[in-house]
Amino acid sequence: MSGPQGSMAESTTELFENAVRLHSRRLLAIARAILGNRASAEDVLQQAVLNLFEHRHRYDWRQPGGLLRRTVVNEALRLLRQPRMTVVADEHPGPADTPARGLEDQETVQRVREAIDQLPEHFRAALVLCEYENMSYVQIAEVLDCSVAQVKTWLHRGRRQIAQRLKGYMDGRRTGQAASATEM
Amino acid sequence: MSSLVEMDIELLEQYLDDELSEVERQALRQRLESEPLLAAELEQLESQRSQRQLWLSSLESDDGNAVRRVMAQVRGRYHMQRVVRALKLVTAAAACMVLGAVLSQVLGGDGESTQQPAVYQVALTDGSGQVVAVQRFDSLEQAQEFSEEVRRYQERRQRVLGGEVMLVAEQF
Repeated sequence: MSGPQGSMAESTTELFENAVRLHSRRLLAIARAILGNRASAEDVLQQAVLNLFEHRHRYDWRQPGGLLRRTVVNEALRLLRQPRMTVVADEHPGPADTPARGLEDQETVQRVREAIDQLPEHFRAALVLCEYENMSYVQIAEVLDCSVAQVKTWLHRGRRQIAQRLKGYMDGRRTGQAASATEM
Repeated sequence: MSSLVEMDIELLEQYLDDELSEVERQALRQRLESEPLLAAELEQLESQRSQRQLWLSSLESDDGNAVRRVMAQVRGRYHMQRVVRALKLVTAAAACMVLGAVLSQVLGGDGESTQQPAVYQVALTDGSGQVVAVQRFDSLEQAQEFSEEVRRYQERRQRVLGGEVMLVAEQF
């Protein structure tokens, strides 16, 4: 391609590629959090990026974070709404790749993952956008196309359900820690 | 205060989510100083949040392969788009040449002006519905066959554009 139009198209593609490269790691994490092991996070990111690529000239790629997040979340939720979801291989990084080094931390991560995995997908999406992306309730409502009141409800119920499911495990840990302290 | 209500817990969650106004935050801080039960609940919520943070940070992969694979797919699609666009131009040019040859046969100046005008016509339209070419036929069967072929071609092209099938140049 040549001329001003050609170079504009090239630079849009370049900006697009840079934006995707810059945000991919976090986008993959968001997809993993919402999908659990119901579908491949990589496939979701790929499809979301391809969807955006088709219409890349419509968007401003200088501040693409919100658009990329919204597209990935929507693609993940769309996939989860499809019937006949099959469990895929666990794509989550192994213990060696995680900052959680200790055995206890690894077990906590596993327990939390199991508890979160049982939440409805909108609860998971709201939770990850709030606690991982540090988005405000208003921003989350925009991404999930719902009211702020709904976001509050989903977050509150999600957190309560996780706490309920982890209660036994945490009580056990606390008892164990107290016993170790007494022995010392 | 003897026990906490759900509203108190929601208030604490909003405090941790940084969703309270300055006035609300001040009011809550005062309550926290005078209500040990509320302060204990806040501590518990913070502890639960730190567990979730462990899980959230475990979702981040240091492996750049996934990103590279995604980018390779995007570039592949970009390349495919360019190939299809070029092919469309070639096909359009070929169609024009065939149409021109057919028209010159039908309307050719060999003096035989007594030829019967074609009775059946098939109009080719673009995406906006505008007629870009008209093909004439002597019989309805020929016209139907032609339009069926065009339909089949369009269908194949849509599947290629949708990425459903790969483009094999020799077969086009």
